[in-house]
Amino acid sequence: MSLNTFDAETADNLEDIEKQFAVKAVQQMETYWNLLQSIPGSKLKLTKYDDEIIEEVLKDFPEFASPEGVAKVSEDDMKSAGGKARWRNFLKKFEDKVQDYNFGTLLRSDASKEYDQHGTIFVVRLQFYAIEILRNRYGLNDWVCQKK
Amino acid sequence: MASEKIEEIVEEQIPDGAEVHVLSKNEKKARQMILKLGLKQVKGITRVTFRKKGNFILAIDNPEVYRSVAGSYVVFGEAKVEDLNKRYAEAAAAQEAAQQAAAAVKEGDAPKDPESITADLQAASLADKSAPAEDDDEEVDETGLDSGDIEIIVEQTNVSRAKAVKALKEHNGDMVNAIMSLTS
Repeated sequence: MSLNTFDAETADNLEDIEKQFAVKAVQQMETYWNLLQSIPGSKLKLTKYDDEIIEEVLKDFPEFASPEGVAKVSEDDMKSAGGKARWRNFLKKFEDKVQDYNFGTLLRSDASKEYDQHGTIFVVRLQFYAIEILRNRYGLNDWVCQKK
Repeated sequence: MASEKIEEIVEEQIPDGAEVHVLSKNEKKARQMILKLGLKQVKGITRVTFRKKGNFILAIDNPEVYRSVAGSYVVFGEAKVEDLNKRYAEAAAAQEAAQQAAAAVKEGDAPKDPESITADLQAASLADKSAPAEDDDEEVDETGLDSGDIEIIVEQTNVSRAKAVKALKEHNGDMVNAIMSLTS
């Protein structure tokens, strides 16, 4: 394979590059966790559009209006055909606004637990924001900071 | 060096303290693959430098340099970080010392009067101070940003306020992304 005959259609994906997204996701997770450990979630702002995101997500997902609704999220609900359609609708509203809105991101399915092997699900960045901003507002993440 | 266009650089990481000639398995593999691309070795290059923002320089001494048909370069070798600011300061100090020595030789013990000594000291301290401290203290426009957010970033990453503001702007107010860009 020389550079001149390189054909993007038939080339394999370079494994290391494919892994990069996972590296990013983990970095993001660690950074976010460090933030939660030093600042109570209820005082934390994640993006410029926190208020808008919340407003919209509550319109589309009225079940998130109570703290119980976001404290635990079910991966099956989010990734069922119906759940995906609802989320897609919501994601569209922010696709031009929020940086990296569709980047893979790790989310805790239960706000009262740390990131661990079973309680961590893979979502897109905007879903992470919507749920974590709500959790922060409800004070569901404040325990992380007090623990230290 | 200056005339070369570096379009693509494949950098091999060599573990700390390893001899350049002792190649790790991965590096051997990578070299074999890269060499199959029809590269020609470019001889006589003693140093390759990458210049980054803020006068930071990554330098590879005695690199092995290969050139592909398409004009891309592949460089093997151990990269070391060099701080240009530091080198400037050192160079300035050395020059100062040389000048002083020369002056002392020329005029014998004449310039030992207090005035010339204080003048020397002043010049030396000025030379020391002027080299660093260029990057950070510029005025930055914080409009549209929450000063609380900026402080959190400064606290988390130990960077200057100006840098925090810049990162926050680059990432459109996104805290986690801004911190990530400053720490990784």
